[in-house]
Amino acid sequence: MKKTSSALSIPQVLILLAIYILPLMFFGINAAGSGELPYALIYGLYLLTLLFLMFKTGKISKYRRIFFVSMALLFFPAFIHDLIIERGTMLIPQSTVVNNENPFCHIVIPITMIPMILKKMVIFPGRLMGHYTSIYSMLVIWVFMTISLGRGWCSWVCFYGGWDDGCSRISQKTKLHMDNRAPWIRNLPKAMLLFVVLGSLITLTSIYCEWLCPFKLITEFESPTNLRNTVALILMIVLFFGTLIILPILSRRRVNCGLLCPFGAMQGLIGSKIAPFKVKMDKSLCISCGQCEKHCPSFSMGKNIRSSCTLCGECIDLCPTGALDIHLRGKKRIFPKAPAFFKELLQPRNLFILAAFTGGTIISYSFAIHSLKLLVNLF
Amino acid sequence: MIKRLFILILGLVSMVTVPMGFYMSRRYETFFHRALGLQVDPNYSGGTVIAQYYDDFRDDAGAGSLEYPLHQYYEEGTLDLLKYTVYQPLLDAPWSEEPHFWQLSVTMAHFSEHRDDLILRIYLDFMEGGSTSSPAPRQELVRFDQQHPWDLMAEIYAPRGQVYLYDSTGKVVDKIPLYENTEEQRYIIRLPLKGDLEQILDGRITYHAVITGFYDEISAFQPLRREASLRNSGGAADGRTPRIFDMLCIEDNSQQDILSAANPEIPFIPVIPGQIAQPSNSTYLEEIPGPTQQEIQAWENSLQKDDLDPMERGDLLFKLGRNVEALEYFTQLRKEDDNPLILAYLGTLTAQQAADKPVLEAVALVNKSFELFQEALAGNPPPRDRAYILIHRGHVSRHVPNSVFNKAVPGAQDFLGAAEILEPLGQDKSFIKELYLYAAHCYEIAEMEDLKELTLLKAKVIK
Repeated sequence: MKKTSSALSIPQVLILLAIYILPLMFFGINAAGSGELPYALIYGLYLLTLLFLMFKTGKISKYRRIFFVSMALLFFPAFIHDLIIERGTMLIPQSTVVNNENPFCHIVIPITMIPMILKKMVIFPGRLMGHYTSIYSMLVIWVFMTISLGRGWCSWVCFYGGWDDGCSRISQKTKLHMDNRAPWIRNLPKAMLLFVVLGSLITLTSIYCEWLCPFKLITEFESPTNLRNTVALILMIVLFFGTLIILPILSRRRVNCGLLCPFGAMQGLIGSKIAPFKVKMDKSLCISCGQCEKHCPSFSMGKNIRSSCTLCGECIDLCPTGALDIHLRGKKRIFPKAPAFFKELLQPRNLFILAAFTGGTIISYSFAIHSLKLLVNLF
Repeated sequence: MIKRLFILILGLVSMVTVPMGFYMSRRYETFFHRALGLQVDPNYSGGTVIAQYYDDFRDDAGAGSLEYPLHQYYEEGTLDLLKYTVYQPLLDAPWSEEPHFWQLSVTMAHFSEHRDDLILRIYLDFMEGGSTSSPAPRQELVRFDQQHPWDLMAEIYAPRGQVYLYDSTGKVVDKIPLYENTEEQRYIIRLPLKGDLEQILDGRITYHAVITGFYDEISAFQPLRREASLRNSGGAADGRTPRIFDMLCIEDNSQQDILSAANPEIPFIPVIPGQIAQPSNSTYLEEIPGPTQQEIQAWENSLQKDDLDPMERGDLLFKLGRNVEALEYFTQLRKEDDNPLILAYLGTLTAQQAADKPVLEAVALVNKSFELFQEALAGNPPPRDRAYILIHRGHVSRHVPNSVFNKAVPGAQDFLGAAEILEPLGQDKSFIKELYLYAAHCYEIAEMEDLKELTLLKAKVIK
């Protein structure tokens, strides 16, 4: 087990795990349905192991990615299974639309935001209250998560993000170079956000959900019974394979999350301003090796660290001099003069990892244990 | 040190915020809803509600004596209509397989798992001609109002998840999906706006009759027996008892009265449909006529008379827009007379002064105006005077900025309250209608679209 300078001692790790285990147990037991407790325990142990390794080795990105990818892979079997049990199909039935029962995911927030503010109307056939996927519930979760994690959501909590994150590390070599500093790369997320928001405002329809969301392929989509829906389905397939699998493999970047996701762009604009945790560079330590810029999966490293940084930890792990780290309100160490044990224990990166990993844990628990049970039953 | 402690607390709070956000998300929903007041866009929820009619709970006993079959499968309340909702027709509705439709929904008292034997029919009259009978003879054993023969009937047959559309000749012309909302216990239908139904888009009045009964394969409505059995309904007076367990009863119609009117001599009884107007989005206030030149001239002439009643003189000055004179006149009159109506005129005239005054002064004048209205109402005026005071206050409420005074909704209530007082006193119907239109305008100012449209509907049916 290769350790870095940020690796913690066993007592330090145990203290942090003890803090983490409270929400883990609470939400784990709550999420477990009938006969799912063993799976909740297995998943809980899996998460504890990953967190232990993350703290013990000081390697954030590697174990985060394992967690993040497994979260994405465990999300869709449970979601699809539930859909099929409930509706008998992955297609969006009209009854769901008529009854406003479509799950409201976080990506819909920026799309519906302006009509919400201007007209107090939600341009989405979702349920207002009374469910974890209801509009208000998602808004509450988003507000709380944004306050604490900012755009960290996109690398730690989002149950979709693992697709392009995982694919971006399949290939060892970059076959398609996407220059972080190219103006079009820098501006595309904002342009995409603007296009989607204005388009939705003008048409009063959630155009991203209807036309551009690649995740509908692994969740739910409209029946291709007419030309419009058929075109939308084809577009969705192209976007799914193109932006979540092929381009990330070729470019070693998170093409969808980094460039095309309107929620990611919004979090970059809003979340990164609000949240107290940020990746900062100690320029006195930087030797300009370019590793961070070369390997940043979310196109966030240029001359400076951009607001689109998802705090994935890739650059921190790769930096040979330790110039990069997660800061809390500009501080790398909260109590620099405290004894080493506490100084290391309370460093912002540990607080952030605990917060973000807890977020991911809670959001993943409900579907992960359900999926594990399904997979076990399958074999 | 304090700063660093603060940073540590911030970090710890961030950590706590994450699980809190999830844990509390359901609890904070209500708080957020109160603060934000969001609604799903009507384009996604079937259109703006233009009318909701409530039917009595537990009146699913037809003429008062019908009984459900005795088998436990037939759960009480399955046929009990509670609410009937009519929506504004929608064109180009997003996410909808049928982009142009007219949504109607029926809420039931009980949504049994076993509702296979429910039959629910909505009869619609929206154009000339039509039928006054059921699609096939001897079904519900009712006849429809000759004033409103039905043109289209939607038959909700729950077990097949289908709605059959019949034309007035009794022919099935279309089959559309039935949507059920088990949580809200309602059936939802979306009538495609094609063929004859396109006509409703012109904002006409449509008439609705909603009835329920037990389905029977042979006669559509299960025949009734004197005594209920396991599979058959009971409580029939004779073979001609209407087979309707519940019907939409609105306005002053009592279900029992209507269904009890069954007479052995008259095999069919009428079902009175409800009137539901499609509000037009036109400038409805233009319907209110202003004074004609002749009227103004007549007022001027009357004002010259020496023997004019003091209140009438003041009213004429007011109506002629001689505000300064009117204010002086009523101020003087107030010293001599304790008629609360004087305070109402003074209230309006005081508020009118605010129009060209600086903000603070204007606010003070408007507040003073409402104090005068309050004083007038506190004087226990007779009903008609009370109504006129409410109208005065309503008009002031309608004109002052709602963002500052938040008076639009009370204004609407004033107009409606005045209408309620004046209607039984035999006030001219057109005047009552005007009050409803002003109330609708107040709701429009308050951005309460549903109430505005409902009030417009009420105004429209006043003839």
